[in-house]
Amino acid sequence: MAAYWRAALLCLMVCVAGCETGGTATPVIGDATDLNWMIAEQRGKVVLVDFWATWCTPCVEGFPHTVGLANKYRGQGLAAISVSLDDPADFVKVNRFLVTQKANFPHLISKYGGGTDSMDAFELDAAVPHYRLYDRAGKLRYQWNGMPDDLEEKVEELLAEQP
Amino acid sequence: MVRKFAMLLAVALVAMTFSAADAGVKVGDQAPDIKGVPTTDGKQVNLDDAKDAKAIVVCFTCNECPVAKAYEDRFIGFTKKYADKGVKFIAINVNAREDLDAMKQRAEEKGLNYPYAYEASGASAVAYGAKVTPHIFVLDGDRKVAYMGAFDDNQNPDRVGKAYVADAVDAILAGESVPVTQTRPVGCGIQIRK
Repeated sequence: MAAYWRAALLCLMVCVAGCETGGTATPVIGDATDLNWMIAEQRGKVVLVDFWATWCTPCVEGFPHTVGLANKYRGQGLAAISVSLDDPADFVKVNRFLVTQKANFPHLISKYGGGTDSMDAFELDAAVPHYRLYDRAGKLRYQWNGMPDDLEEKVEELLAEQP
Repeated sequence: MVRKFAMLLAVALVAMTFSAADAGVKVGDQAPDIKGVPTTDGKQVNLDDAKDAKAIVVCFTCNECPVAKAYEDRFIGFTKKYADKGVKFIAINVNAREDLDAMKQRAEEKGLNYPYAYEASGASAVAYGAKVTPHIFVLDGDRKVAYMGAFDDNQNPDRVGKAYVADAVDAILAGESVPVTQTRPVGCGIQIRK
């Protein structure tokens, strides 16, 4: 376990020392409680959570869509959060992907990695990608297994609701 | 009349598609049959051929998913350990964009010691309710589903704490209750030909 935290600390130190992240937030390693805190911190905004992993091809293919939505609707009150089901030992690989994507929003890597404990902790029933959309009051309103066709439509719907 | 019949048929087909999508086994159910599915070594997978097996592990997997690949060595080790104990391990790939030729190559490269079959229709995956690769179903001696879910609790072999399939098979062989009968499988979504 110490190896994961060492990897995370090392990356953090490198970034503090001035690495180029393109504004991408460094991922934190945590669990469902951490995710709930991250969502709660965005209270008053519509929150999109993208569950993904570097080992999941559809997730990687769909990630730019999440980044695109986050950038397009940030000014109207959309906040995105990504949750990676990669092994925490792959922290550098995950971070490199996020930097490449210019994913300028908070990121979590499940401390349980890619296993059943992650699926249980985050209550995921099927393969990732999985998306969840919370309204401005922090209530889970929509969720999708696989790439949704109507995600942007639902984002606009929830953004239009008054807090 | 013909048009009316065609419409009814279309509605029935749509209904069948939806029911198939929702279909799947539960723990304790009689396992759906698997018949005549061609394997990489030129044979066929038939559940009936393993009628004397004390347990059968049906594993929906594939060639391309990194999670499935991460488990191949574990499947080989499992087969090696349990083959002499009357346990049969069967791997089935139903992904639409894969084929038997690529699977043959993979089987040779990895030295797979279990049948690796390709079912283009995906019928078995639908019947069992397999969602991801790998997704495992352990059948007991009566061909009832005794366990379904993940092979173990982590795709990283160094972090495995619970060997669900091995525990289930050990329990069946010992005539005991399976300790964990269902887990959430982890892997890549199965893509069945439409």
